[in-house]
Amino acid sequence: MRELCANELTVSLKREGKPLVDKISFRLGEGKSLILLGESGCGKTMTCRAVMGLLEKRRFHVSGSVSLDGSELLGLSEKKRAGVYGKRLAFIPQNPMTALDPSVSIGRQMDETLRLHTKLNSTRRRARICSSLLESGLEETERVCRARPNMLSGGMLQRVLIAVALSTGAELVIADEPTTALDVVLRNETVDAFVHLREKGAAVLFVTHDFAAALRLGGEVLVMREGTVVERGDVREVWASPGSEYTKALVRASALSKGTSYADC
Amino acid sequence: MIKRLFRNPQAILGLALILIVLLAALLSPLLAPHDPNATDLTKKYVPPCPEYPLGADELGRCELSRLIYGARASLGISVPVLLILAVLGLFLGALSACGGRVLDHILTFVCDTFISFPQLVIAIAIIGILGTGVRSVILSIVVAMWAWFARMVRSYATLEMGKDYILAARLSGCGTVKLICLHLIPNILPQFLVYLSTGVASSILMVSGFAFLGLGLPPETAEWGGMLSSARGTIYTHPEMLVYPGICILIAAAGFNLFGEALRDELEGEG
Repeated sequence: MRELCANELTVSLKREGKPLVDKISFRLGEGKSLILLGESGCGKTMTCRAVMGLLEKRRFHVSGSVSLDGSELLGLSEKKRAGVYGKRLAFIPQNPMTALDPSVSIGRQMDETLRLHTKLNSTRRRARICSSLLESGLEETERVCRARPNMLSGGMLQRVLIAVALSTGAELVIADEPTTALDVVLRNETVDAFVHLREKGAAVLFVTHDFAAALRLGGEVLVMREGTVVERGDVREVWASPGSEYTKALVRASALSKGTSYADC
Repeated sequence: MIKRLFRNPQAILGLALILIVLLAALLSPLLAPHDPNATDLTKKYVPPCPEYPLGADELGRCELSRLIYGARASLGISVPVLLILAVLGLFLGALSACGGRVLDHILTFVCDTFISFPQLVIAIAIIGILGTGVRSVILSIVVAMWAWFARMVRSYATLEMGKDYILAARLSGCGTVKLICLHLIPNILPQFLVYLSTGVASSILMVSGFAFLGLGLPPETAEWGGMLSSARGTIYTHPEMLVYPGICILIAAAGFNLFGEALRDELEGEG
């Protein structure tokens, strides 16, 4: 992937005129990360879902453009979208418990994804599953493969989802608040797995309300409020010297003190 | 999963009760000491004795033999009814949840229409048209109850359809049929099995309701619901005639319920 580009992306409810996301533009290149940061209800998830084309057409009006390497993603048919998602684009939702089929073992689910998106035989698929689980920090690969989602913790499931993205070689990973339900240790480990994904060349679109997670990941940040971008720039620079009052309030509200180094986040 | 199920005491107890009822149904000619329909008015309401271990009813028929044969009639109706209801419910409920808004509205409207009538009224109307007999009873119960099952599956399926793994499967290009068969049905099956298991007791009681109204099975047929209804008149003089079939219905219903719940726990990985 060379670039994901959103231009004046606007989302509004068809019944109401007021936009939920108002003319947001950004570019996200290979091996980079873009963080959408803001309070609940500011339009972060809506932006993600609009990029993914997941908003119901009968309820939402989406305008502007979203393109992946120049090909427009908005308005793609379900069939054409299936060719892009999974293989080139992976989505990691907030709640990993509902992101995986509870009745099917992790190994079978990962295998099904690989079967849909690659032409590997079963032996090579198995090897790819094990290696991507190891890469995402899950060492007991056999046990994880045999387990059903309810047998693993939230942090482990998040890493399974990251492993799915790794195994398919997704070029763009969209993660919607993947660290919300995790404690600090697991949060850091999960963010590190995203750093690893980025280092392998994937572009990461990361949604969070947690400044610490954003700082640990690094990259460009869009601070959002009421559907608009109030500030943008490198996350560490924004944190060090916030420009808008809202960003200052977010920095103050985060549990970090000014003396905290990025490595401590 | 089967190994775990056999280590679950609830499942074993449920299965044991189901097996007792099933064996009674299958081996009734061997187990019953008398012909269930052989009347002997000189033995009217005889108390339990070696010849009649549970006594005799108002026509001098062996109560134990009628209970054993009753398992055959009760299961012979309940099992086919539930199998048909399961297939119909899963098919129509899943179709309603996944088939788009228009289809969902149509199926919901039809279900609501059927649900708005009391089940017994629908069943009586069907039996009135088709006449009495086992087939008519099965068909009338299915017609009376299908909407409840379809509605239940639809509500489970709609809940499941909102989850991210279904979305992920759809985004990855998983077709509707594959989605329903591989992801949707396995995940709604645990709750549905429990609902289905409660249907055994409902259908047995419905058949007894028919017997009370003089519909359905012929009056001489040994069937628990019918025996319960005919013993109502002797509740103060011979309450045991009411208790015996009641216990049989309880055993069958408890067996299916216990097994259904244990199965749900194992399928959900909680067991």
